[in-house]
Amino acid sequence: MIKDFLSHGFLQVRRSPVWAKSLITNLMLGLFGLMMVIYMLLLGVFLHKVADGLEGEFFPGSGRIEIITRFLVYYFGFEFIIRFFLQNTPVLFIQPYLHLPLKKGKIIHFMLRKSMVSVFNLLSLLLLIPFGLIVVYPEMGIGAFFGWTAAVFGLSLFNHFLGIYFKKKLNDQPNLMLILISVMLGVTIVEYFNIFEFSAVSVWIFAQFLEVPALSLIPVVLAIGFYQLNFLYLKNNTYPDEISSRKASRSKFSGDFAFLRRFGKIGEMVALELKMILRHKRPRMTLVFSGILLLYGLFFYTQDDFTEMSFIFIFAGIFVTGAFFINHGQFLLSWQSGDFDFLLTRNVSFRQYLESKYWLFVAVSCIAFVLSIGYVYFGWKIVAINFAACLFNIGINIPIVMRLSMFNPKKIDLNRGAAFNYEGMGAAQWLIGIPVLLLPYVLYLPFTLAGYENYGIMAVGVGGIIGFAFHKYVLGLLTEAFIKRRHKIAAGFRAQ
Amino acid sequence: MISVQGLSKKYKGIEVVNIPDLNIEKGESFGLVGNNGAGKTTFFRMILDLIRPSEGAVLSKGIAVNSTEDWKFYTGSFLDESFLIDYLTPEEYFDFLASLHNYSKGDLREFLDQFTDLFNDEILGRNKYIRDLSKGNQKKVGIVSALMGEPEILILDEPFANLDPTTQIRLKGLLKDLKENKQLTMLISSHDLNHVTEVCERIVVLDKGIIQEDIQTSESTLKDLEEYFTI
Repeated sequence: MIKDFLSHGFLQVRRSPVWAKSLITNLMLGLFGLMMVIYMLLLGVFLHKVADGLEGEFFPGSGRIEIITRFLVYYFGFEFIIRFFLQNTPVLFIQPYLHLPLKKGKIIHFMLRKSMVSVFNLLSLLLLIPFGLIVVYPEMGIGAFFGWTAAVFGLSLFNHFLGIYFKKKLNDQPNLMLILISVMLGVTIVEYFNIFEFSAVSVWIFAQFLEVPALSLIPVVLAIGFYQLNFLYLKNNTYPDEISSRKASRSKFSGDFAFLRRFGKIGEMVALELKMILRHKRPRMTLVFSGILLLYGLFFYTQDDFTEMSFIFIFAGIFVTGAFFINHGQFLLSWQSGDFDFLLTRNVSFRQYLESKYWLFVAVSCIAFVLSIGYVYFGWKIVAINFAACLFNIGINIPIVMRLSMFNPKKIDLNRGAAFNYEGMGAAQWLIGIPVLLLPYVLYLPFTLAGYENYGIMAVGVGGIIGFAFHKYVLGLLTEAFIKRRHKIAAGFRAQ
Repeated sequence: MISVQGLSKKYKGIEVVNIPDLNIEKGESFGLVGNNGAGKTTFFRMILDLIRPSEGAVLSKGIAVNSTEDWKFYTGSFLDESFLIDYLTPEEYFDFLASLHNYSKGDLREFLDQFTDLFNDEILGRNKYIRDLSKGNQKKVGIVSALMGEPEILILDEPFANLDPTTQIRLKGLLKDLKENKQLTMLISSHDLNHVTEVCERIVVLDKGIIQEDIQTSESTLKDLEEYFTI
């Protein structure tokens, strides 16, 4: 039976349509995992050096073990949060087995045990067991080393099952992330102002484990306890409609953008797009991400090194005012992959469809520019550069991104989560950044190298204005390209 | 065989199924009809313990389905594609089910041979994953897999939908045959009044989760039903 489950699990991954399409991204993720493992192992092997370093700097007179154990409570707390967000138990895996003559318990045991095979469970072992071998064993003997290993192992598994349990229980809690972050922040503040020292507690607990190794079985027992708790909870709750409550869209957003109606069909289309963005996690993430990129300028403007190299500010300006269309626009058509046939068959002309996208990007770029005026704090020049970059985005970059995104767009399933979701990524998406970031320099550099930087900035802006003057013609070209490719694109979306 | 006691399911305060009392005898072929949203699938899901009832219980052979799992061993079912493991090929899926029912390779071949007509060479040996089959062919896989292991109860949701006319007729023949020769208890829901009156000897009309009619099929049943649904 277990053999069957294992083979199904393997086939599920191997035969997933996403797997075949994004082999490269899977390889990248695999490499990333491998790198994490190697880094953790290296850090683990040299952890005693780190302890020595910290002793000299911050904790003179403390022993290595004490210094490292100070941080363990934070390490495991942090690990818990990472697990909570990145680790998932594939509960839906069991759905096709529920009506078959199989005991539920068997499936759930399998699922929970399989979940233990995870990189996350390796990390703390890699980090802390070498320290145990190098420091704990020589200093305190084999018993302490045994206690150390068992405690680390137990805490790691405890974290694992606690994470799964909390995830199941709290998933519907709104603002969970905020709550967790504020708890972490609270703990840090309390520690920082010496109100209550969690690190001292951590030191004390681990000292007990090392002195009386048998005590280190407590975390192991706790881990087993939470395993049982998970098991019982899942056994009583394996009802697909309850488990997958997340799938039922929780989006409470219901604005209808009535003000856009006055722009006719294009306005309606923009409203549709906005609803699509706000009601799905992944496009909403790109929107939020674009908001965060508004702050990207701070990274450049605050560094003294960069004030000498003001050419880099053009780069920043393009990003700050154009983050949305770069992020969202690269998947221009993919966002509609679910209802693309609908689009093709309705009485919206293709030109109107593309125009609606264009104006949405223009509007958001303008909004981003207005918000970026706050950077005037770093000097008027920055505002001038951002203005030129914004014009350039509107006139030239937006049509370029729109055109490039029509190369072989990939399907995106809007209802899937956003993190680590590489659906829709294709080679074209990686290439898009290059012209968008390099083209303004074609106008800017000749003037700047000749010593007239201000004219260079103006040239970028003027280039944008000229591009915008021809936007009707450019949209015509885009529409032609779209019409030519529409059948191929639609077939690509329909294929699984 | 199956009895329903005070069964009710509410979603956010709205009752979608309310069946105070219903008994289905062994060997009975039971047809469930009703418009969209009548609660047919929800009712079937509760029989299969896939949805937790808000109140009441479904008893299979006198035991509540959510208290034991014994019913799984004599109940075959297919409601929708989520019952299939869609990244397997049909052969792999049947192999897996065969291992659950302790079929030998020969047993499985013998079992599948009965359905050569139904499969019409579109299912086996095609080297396609279930998810790449058409809806109709997925349904064939699901129905056949529900029949594996000689179940005493068979539960099918909309078995005729998405099937081509030839297969519909073959399926009807198959179901009638099972009813007469194997004493199979069948629960079938359908929108197609023709098919359901042909296959089932008892028809229950569900509307807004409540049983409106409960009739033994006779000559005039089809007409009566058509009248009922003509509004």
